[in-house]
Amino acid sequence: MHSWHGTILRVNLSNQEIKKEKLDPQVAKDFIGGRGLAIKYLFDEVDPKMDALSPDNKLIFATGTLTSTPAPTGNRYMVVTKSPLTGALANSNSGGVFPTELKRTGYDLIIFEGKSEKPVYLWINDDQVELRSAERLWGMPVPETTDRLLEETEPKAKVACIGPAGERLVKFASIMNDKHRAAGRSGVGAVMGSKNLKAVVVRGTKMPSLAEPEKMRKLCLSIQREVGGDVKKGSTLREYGTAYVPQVTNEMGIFPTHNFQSGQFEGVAKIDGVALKEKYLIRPKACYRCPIACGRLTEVDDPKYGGKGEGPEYETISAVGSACGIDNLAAITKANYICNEMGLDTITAGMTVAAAMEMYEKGYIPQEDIGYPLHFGDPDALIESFIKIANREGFGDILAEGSYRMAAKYGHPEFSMSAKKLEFPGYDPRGAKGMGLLYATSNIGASHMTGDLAYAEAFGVPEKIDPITIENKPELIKHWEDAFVVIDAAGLCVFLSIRYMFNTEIMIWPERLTKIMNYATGAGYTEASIMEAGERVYNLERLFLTKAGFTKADDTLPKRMLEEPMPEGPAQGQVVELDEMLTKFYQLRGWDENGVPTKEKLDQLGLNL
Amino acid sequence: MKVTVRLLATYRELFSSEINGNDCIVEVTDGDTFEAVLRKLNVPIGPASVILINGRTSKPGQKLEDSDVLCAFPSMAGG
Repeated sequence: MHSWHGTILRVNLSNQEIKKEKLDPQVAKDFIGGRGLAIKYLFDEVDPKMDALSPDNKLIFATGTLTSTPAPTGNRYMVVTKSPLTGALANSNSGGVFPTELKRTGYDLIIFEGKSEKPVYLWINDDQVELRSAERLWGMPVPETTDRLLEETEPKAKVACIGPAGERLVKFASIMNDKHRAAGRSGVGAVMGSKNLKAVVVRGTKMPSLAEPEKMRKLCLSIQREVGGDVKKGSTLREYGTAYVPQVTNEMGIFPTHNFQSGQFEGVAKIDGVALKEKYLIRPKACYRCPIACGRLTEVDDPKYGGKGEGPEYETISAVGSACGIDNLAAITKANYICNEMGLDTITAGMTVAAAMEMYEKGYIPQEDIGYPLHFGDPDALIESFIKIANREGFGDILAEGSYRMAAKYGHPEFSMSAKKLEFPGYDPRGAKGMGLLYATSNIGASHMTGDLAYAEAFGVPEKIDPITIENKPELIKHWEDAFVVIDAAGLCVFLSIRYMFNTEIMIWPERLTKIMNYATGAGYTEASIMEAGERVYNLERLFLTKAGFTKADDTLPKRMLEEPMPEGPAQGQVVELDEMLTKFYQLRGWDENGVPTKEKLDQLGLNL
Repeated sequence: MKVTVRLLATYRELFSSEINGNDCIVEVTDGDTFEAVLRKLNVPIGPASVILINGRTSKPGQKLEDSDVLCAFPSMAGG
């Protein structure tokens, strides 16, 4: 096998047994890698109905097929497990340098199972694999944990760990790697905490072999040069990071404001990429083999909100900033640092506080329950809430359950802007209808990462389409979801791959990506077969949800999106016409009217279960 | 008539140096298309740019009306 190492590492935390297993080459080809291979193993090995925080859940660290190869942005890994926040699937994606080092240890997947009696961490130094005590690290924030682990293992090692939020089973705890990068969504950090696994530390020297190294090198170099040339001409992502986006979404009237009550935020210019660059940016920061460098190394010199770290990127500015009515960029950045240090997903953290702010202002949550006023626009209340969430202290213990459970506790789940209990990212779907269908149907809940049609609806990649219409959106979402599986499974970053490894048609097609995959693996993919593999993985994920008890009733959006027209701006008067899109989407997917994959579709995809 | 031209992200640099910010009010002739206005500012017309009129997707050859907000930024994956 090439590119895949062909080895799985299985770590049983209950009895401390560590085993190496062979990866079947046909399974590798059929499920590509990363997200795809991980769901194959998860589906085969767990009962999707189990409690996500019980020892029965498994936590899978999965590098992509092209991770640590010469492929530009081949730097991702995914954490796949059952989510404690949603009860659905979690496949949380992160870059940086940890994933590359993880791949070089020689394993395609690490499967953690059971639960350790005491806190431990896994230390992989090439062929040496051991579980070590993490008792003295328990309770430590992410930066200190990382530093201590590097001291006691190897300075060149890379670390992924949880912070106090993961230890306390906050339902949206992240797994942080390289201190500042996050596998953020769906509470994967809580699953790690439930297993008493504090960290994974890796040092590896095994470069994945390549089937046709010279062809691979040439093609990747030409893409790298192409991207580099474009970056030189002026790259918005390099210049401003994803923080350039608030002005765009605000212009379109889809910038989440006051818990999605509006799509335009008065203070947008105070919290956008230009302000960030002028005030706090030290320099852009790139993941492994990335010519873009959208990461932001920042420092805030402020008596109240001072600090140094990475971020904020767009999603944080939206969820923590405009959604909470906060136009103080120093405070948003500080809140971002707190999330990174304590190990919290900034999107769910921000959106949960935003929901609580709306409910507090409307009188549904009494101040005595919260302990302090929680008005929109109050940065101190936001930051206090984040710290209380991470420590599960006072009202923070209720917020730590996520916006849906918090709002339901007070009898009004409709104030949770979530789908399948996962909070919305930063695009109001009333003005970006494809995103509405995506939020409602994604296998992990309201995520932009599973088929981000905002690229076309908002950003003109590969071409600008009308965001308001529902015409052709089911077709596009189905197609983009399958394509995004391929990108994730390959271990690539979507920012670069959509533009440089696919064709430039709106029905994106893996032209150069298929070549790269074949030069790397020698597996003989065709463009059609790799897209079919994407569809196979997507359907297996859906089956996981079906078996977990999800039905058509869960493929929905909050009442606000379906019945309350956008009050102002370019999307004024719009709601999401979900039913119409959903019926068409199920047909296109080959699912029955209840959203269950049909036998014919499963047979076609070779998923005869 | 007057329209607001709003250039975002790296297109801000296409404004002359005395304009500080994203916006500039420009005088246009009745019947001018957005392409004509943006060409004068060296904004690329075509797939390299996203061009919105009052926040909505522009249509090729679309004529401007008084008080329109014409917004352009480079097409770019992101967010």
